[in-house]
Amino acid sequence: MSEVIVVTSGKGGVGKTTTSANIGTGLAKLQKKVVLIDTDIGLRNLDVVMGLENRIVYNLVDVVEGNCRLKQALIRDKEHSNLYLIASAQTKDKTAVSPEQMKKLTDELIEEFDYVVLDCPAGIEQGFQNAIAGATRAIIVTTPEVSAIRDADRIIGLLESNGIKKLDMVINKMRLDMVRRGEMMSIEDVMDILPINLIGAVPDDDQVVISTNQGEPIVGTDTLAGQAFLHITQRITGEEVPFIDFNKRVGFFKKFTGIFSKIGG
Amino acid sequence: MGFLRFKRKLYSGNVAKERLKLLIYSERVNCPPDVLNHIQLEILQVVQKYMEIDTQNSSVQIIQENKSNSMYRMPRLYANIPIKTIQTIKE
Repeated sequence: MSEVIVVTSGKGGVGKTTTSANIGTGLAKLQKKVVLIDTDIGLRNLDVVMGLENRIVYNLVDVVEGNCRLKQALIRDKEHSNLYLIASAQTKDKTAVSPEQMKKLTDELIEEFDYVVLDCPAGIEQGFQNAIAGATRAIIVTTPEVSAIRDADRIIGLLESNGIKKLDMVINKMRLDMVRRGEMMSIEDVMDILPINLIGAVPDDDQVVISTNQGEPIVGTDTLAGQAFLHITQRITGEEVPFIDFNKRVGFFKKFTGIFSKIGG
Repeated sequence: MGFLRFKRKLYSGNVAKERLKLLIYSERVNCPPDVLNHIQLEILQVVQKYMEIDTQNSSVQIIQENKSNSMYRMPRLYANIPIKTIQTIKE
């Protein structure tokens, strides 16, 4: 079944674009036909996270305004031939696209693709309204911080009142060392506050920054974040994947440091 | 041990969770903190007519539990009022 998924958060800087890029790439790795759309008009970013910034000729506003055919604005990914990107416009004003136009676009795309993934801008203004207009499902990205969780709660309310019922959350940038010290809310704490399903948690991993630097999404690589994003993607397709017990991993690691300190001592 | 337990309460992760719960639940029902303060004041005034209470340690909050049972998902007004003595008021 085809789905239009909006990746949203309310607050900026929690990792919407990174999550969008990784979900899109992850779904393509699972042999799904995917199109990613950057809906942040004026602040184009998904292209550079995907490493496709040099290939963009036409963008979202061009499609909506009829300056090009839809096919011309679909930029094919470097590695996955079943993954495409529609970049957002850099210069045009934010009101260049309306929610009705976005709905028409996603309705057209869903005929041809298994998944349409929309990267939503921060905030709850028109950019948000555009991004959710055609969505059948939402992934809410949050971090274990008071501001991000408060905004996520507001976004959940707005999505529900707009009739989007399938809501899942990703808790990003988990610092396991801080959770263990009691200085950061745990996954359970966040789940206790926000009333929606958890689809995955992603540790705050240096490798995410490195992969973004290189313009290659981390999903599927042999890193903690890469595995976490892969599992999230699998869960999106309906596959049941057990949650990684981060604490267990830490315990395992501790055992090793324990051995070393014994040897050292 | 008593000292440790006291310190545990102050871990910032717990502080964050408790602050967020109070804030988010009152925002969900569109009830600003000052309205909640007024409600608290008036409730305490009413209760004080009938019993001696510890106003310093009283609180009125909006709470909500993420339970599947729909009755518990509804936000609830929760008053926590320690009673010192109950006076029998004769008219």
